[in-house]
Amino acid sequence: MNATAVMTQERTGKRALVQGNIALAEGAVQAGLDCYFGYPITPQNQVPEYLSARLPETGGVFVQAESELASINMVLGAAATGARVMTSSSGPGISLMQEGISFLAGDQLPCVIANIMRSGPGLGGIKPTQGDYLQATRGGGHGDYHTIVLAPASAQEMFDLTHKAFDLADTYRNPVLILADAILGQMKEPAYLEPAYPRLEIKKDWALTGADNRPARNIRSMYLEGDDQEQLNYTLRDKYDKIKKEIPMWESADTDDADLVVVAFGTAARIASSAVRMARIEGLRVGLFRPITLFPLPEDALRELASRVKRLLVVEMNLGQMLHDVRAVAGADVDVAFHGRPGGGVPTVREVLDKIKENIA
Amino acid sequence: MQTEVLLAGFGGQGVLFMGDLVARSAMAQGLHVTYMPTYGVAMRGGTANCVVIMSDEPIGSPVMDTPDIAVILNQQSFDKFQPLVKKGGMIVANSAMVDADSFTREGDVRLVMAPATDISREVTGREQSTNMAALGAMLAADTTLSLEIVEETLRANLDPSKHALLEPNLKTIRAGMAAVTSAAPTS
Amino acid sequence: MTVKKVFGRPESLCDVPTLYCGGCGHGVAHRLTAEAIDHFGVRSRAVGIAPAGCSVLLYKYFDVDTIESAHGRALAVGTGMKRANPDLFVFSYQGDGDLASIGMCETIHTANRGESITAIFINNAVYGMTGGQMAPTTLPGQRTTTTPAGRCVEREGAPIKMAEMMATFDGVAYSERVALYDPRQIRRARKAVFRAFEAQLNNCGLGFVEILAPCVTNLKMTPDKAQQWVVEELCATFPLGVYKDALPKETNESKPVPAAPERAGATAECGSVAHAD
Repeated sequence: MNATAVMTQERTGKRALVQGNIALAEGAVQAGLDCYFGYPITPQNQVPEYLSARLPETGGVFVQAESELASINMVLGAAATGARVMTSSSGPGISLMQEGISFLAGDQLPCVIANIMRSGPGLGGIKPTQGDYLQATRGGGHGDYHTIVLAPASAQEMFDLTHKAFDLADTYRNPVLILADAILGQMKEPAYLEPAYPRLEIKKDWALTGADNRPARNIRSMYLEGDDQEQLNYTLRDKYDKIKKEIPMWESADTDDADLVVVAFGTAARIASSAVRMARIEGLRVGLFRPITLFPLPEDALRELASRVKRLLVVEMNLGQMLHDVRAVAGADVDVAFHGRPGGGVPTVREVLDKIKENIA
Repeated sequence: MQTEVLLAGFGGQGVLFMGDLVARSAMAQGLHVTYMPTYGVAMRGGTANCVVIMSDEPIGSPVMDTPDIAVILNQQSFDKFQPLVKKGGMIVANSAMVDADSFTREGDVRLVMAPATDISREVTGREQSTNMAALGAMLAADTTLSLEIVEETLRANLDPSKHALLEPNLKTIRAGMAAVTSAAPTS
Repeated sequence: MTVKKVFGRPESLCDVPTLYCGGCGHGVAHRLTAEAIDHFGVRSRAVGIAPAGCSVLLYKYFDVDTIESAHGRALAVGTGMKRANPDLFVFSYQGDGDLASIGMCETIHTANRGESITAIFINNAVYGMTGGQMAPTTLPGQRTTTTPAGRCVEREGAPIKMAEMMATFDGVAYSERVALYDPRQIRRARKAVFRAFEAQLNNCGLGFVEILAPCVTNLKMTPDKAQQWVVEELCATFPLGVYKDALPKETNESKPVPAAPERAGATAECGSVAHAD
């Protein structure tokens, strides 16, 4: 589905100037967040700080865990009871959570995980990056699995996509990752802090609530007998195929007559949109395609686009991660150029504009 | 029309508060706006800065590129940021802490000097409203935001526990404005 | 003539043979836990957390809701469950590698937060399922597949004493170390498990029971020799006893604990769930 159908509904009410991290947290609260478990790490600290005060007002549970490893396993435990649960972190903390995310995927438990990306590798720095694209879209931990990955690009989308993430998680019984970065987390923008549509209520007839007048239930990812493990993986594959068909979201601008289309997500797409606007003013036929779901990448829309433009330019805040996916989708007949800067650096509008000019000739 | 404002000083001078107020005022005035603070490993000390972008159309990049206006409260920030200001742009500097002789952009950037720290001390008896004096100076030098909207926004957003500071702050903003309006234009 | 049933399978245990090695102790420990579930009537709201280790197949044996935890994370998972739904009765069942090595951080912090969860801890001084490697509780000098010359305290540190350590946390309501080497010890163990259940049922904090048991296969001993090893070696390093009891004297759930039938001890020898039909 195209983003415009989902994200930019007519909104009423008052907008607030809100920090991205707070918008994300409030989006979760309004989606009916029951429990939050987390551990401090910059640049996402406003999420736990806000929720530690907000959840007691709604009857929700807030726990500051002893580590991200504990956070994600608390998430797993709470999710298994049928609660709406989330955690948030950044770089090193998300790495530490990968064990639990793999278990959540294998257990088919719904939850929401926000990664407010900071530059790596290692301790890296607290500057923004998109260096976790591959970790996020490939699953990140051990095994053949995927999380659904949503990439907001504004405070409004930090709210809206987090709200939506809970519905997606429950619908597909799958972890959903919000992949944002330090800029989106720290930046303040006006946003409507009321959801565009009500949350879904999905019956969780798998939840562990005690075997009260029903057979005992078990949640696990270990299957030792026969081909059970292989079957689980086919089940997961079928689910991911369904997800790929049903939920791709994207936004495109100025692509109808474009010779060159810039492909970028999140903050990189914001930067690219400024460059595209400047290029248009100079009379260059340039457009912008912004994937909102990174898993699944909106492949059909991208393929259709690739079939009618001369060249794509991928812009990322890394050294080329989504680039490989775009190349694979676009096929050999379309040139795919790249501009990116790795963790610690952020591409400038000027750099992107220069790259556009270099590639449109 | 897009205006990119950089606000900078040392930690504790209220730079982030000033940026937040500018951003809220822009929103109240019906403009599109982004506010990007610095965030760091230390709570205090060092330099603090933030960027507010105001525009009559949706804003693309929220990242500071070349500011149209730089409001600068101390020398260190002045030295660091004056080379970045857009040609034809403007620097509003706190003359109590910035040496006019260190200005190197004569001819392509307009320099507005206002003794923000002194104004704060004169009006409130304390230096804590330096940021408000500098904001007043900015409002006098650039007309994107109206004084009325800024006053209204401050009134609506000041923490109730700090309401005693409302009137002194409003006065300081006006005094900062007056300091620029009455002074001869500098180049 | 009426026949009175004096011994049977607890309702909370499934009617299946276990895959545990004969004489290992898991069978008895499972049974005691199941008896407590039945006794306190919590089967309909119980969730058991299985560790990585021999008891990972907990769901096959317990007729209650169960979840499998990543290695060492059982008490973090339990925290999530109990916080999300305080009405659940949450118990973890963990080995020494799980609870005292890879999961030590989660164990300590769950104890420190005083989560009202019941933790059943099986200490057999070795990694059972992976093939007899050194555990945090391996005895000094004990040969394992990764300490072929015996555990050297200077090199590998001394065995970690969990029951004592857990007793130091304000959030722990009950901590006891028990063994299963004879019927008397099994009865004691049963009482300890019941007490650790009461801690949760009274919302007093973590209930912790450390159960000394032999891993016969990795000790390469017959079950009777292995029990002797528990008495002579394991108990010498890990003294049995109540290390903390912060429960109110008369707890809400206190009911006279029925004496365990003597025959329960028989399960120690066969190692599988005993039931007389």
